[in-house]
Amino acid sequence: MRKQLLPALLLLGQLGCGDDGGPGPTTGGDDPAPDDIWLVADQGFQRPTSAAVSRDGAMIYFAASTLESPPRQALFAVSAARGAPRAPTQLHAGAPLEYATGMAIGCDSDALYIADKAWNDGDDDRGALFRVSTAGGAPTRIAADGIYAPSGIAMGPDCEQLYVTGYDEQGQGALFRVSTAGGPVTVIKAGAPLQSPTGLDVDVRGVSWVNDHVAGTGGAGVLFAIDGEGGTTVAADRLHLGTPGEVKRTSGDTKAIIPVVNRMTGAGELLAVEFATGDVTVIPAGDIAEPAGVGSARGAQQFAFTDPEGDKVFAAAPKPAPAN
Amino acid sequence: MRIIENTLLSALAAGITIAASGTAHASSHREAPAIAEDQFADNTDVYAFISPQSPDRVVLVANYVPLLLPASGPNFYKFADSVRYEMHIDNDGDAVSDITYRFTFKTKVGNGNTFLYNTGPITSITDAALNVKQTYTLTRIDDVSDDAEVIARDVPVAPWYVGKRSFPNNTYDMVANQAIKTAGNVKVFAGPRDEPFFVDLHVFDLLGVGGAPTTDGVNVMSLVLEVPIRDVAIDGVRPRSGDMSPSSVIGVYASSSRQKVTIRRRNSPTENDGGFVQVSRLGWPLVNEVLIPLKDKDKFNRTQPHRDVANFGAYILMPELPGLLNAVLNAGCAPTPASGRTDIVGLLSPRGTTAADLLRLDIRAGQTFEHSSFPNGRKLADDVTDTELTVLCNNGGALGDGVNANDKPFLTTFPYLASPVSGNP
Repeated sequence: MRKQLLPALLLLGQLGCGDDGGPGPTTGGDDPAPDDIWLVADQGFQRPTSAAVSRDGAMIYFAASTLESPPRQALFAVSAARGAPRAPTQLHAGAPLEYATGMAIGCDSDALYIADKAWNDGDDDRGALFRVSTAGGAPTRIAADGIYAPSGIAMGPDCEQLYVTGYDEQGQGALFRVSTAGGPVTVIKAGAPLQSPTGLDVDVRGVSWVNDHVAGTGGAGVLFAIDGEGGTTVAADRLHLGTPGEVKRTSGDTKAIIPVVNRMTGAGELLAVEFATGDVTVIPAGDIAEPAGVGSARGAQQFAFTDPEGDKVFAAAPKPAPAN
Repeated sequence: MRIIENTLLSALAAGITIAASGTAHASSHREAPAIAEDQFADNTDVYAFISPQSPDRVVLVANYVPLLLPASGPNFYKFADSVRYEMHIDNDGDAVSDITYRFTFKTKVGNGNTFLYNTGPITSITDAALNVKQTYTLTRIDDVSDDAEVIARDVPVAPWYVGKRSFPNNTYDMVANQAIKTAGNVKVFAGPRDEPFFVDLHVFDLLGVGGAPTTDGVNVMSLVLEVPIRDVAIDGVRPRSGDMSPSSVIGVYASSSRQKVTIRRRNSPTENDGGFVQVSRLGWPLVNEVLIPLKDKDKFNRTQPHRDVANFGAYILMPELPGLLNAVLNAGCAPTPASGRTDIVGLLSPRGTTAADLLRLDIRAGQTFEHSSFPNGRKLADDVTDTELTVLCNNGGALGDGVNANDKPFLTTFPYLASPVSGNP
């Protein structure tokens, strides 16, 4: 049954309406990858990690460090519009954030949800989840006991549950689910084959698409598909993920878009992985040194990428169809 | 140096020729600022030679963790569990790795309620008295296809030679030899060995060499691999004897990599996260040590060999050392021609291979252990310091540091490196 997971999910997905405004899965055809990439921000921050996009595709939110010495972890917002790169607006800087590696956005674009794997408060140094308004202000902690060192975070299809990667109490790589308001944590999957799970995306069926930096025989990185019962299938391997290694689906739900590092040249690339076949296409990524975080507004076919090595944030979308 | 020896470099075998002769320093021990602060990931030397026991096999040695005092307890040296140690082989001459052998380690403490490395005499590598045990997985990666094959799992690392009380009656070698693993046609060893590199490190005191054997009596962590030559040759076939193509030689380098992110926590172990980044690499001895200036040494360790000419070509063409030898020691080194030291570039690119810091070894049929002599590969006994000093000085004479051999004899059988120095002889 699980060996046929991917095609089966694709078929089921045709009934869905899309979890974040996307049209839902298609059987293929016109589901373009975001192959038109433009720079939106390259000043006033460094080491951007994760990114999120407002549901209308107009705004990009990202986590990065300030330029101070020592730097502080901060959250920024910038328009996704084409044109010259612009200075982002700083939404928040400093405590309680330490190292925000994952970011998701609420379904009405009013809040950002942050996975901070290095947060600590006295003896409690498990990392934490936070909620912060897209208008800025202080992050508030989301209670999520049992999640250690959260790395990736994604909004569930019901807009009420967060899916989070991290580690369980035994130190096993794990996938969790918790309400956006916090509370009891559900362990969806813990332990092998997960080793060091990072970015993730969740589709309308509740299937989590989870990247893992060091899984796979060669330890080169894997994209797992994990169903609601923890059934786990390798969707793609040997990915050579950027850091953090996030993943987002395309509008038609036929592909995963994954920032990677070319294993031979060391150059940054974006991969489009076909869910149905596992086929991988390289999307030329221009001067992105190491794409890492990725956010998307599937309904708007709008993506955003961070480049921690180049200290830049990019927007991306499918190239407009040529006029006839 | 003024211990200039009149040792003529022998003509190098197998069509890989060297124009002149040369000097050296600790091959790649603590050679760059960043790696000097990361001792367990610091690779020190690479050796590659045709097996003295079987001429259809090649021996690769990668040493890490430099200048280890034998009496270094209670936490004796080992490999780092958080580092990927790798040997890379270019078999088509483009200076890009085609085959990688990766070693990843895991440490297990039997009894955490004692400070002791061993709780009694150690009589075997599985002895319960050996309280800190390290094992490793060896993976072969085809870098062209990205296919990976685990060759061996849970292979024990040889223990540290703690001393005569822990290994009574000279039993250390018997125990350490139990760390030799044969997996299919691959033979492998990991563990502490006597530092095989011999040099007068007083060279870094303003070139003040005087024949002091400064690396005698210290240990190093060694990875030793012996594989059929066909396993590392292009298309799995050993080149014929008359082959003069770039694929008639292999290019070897070793590296170490760490994950990009480290998070230190108050109440739980340090966590490593993210993709792996190369933090150290080495092919020829002494390239990063004395050819690359301080400002670019860390960059050298981060970058890949096929970019060496673009990144560091100017330093190779216009080396700093000959001028220093003249200024400090009045060594009479030849002036660097306006066109630069293209002869050195030539040594780094035999048979039309891409010039890079790779240890090139002729693997054609007919090549034997005797043919493997730096810079055609590198045997453990090769005096690379003298060779490189002489090449760099380039005045027709020979230079040397006055240290011409290791203090302990090398073994004639696998793993070839001498046993480590005891912490309590």
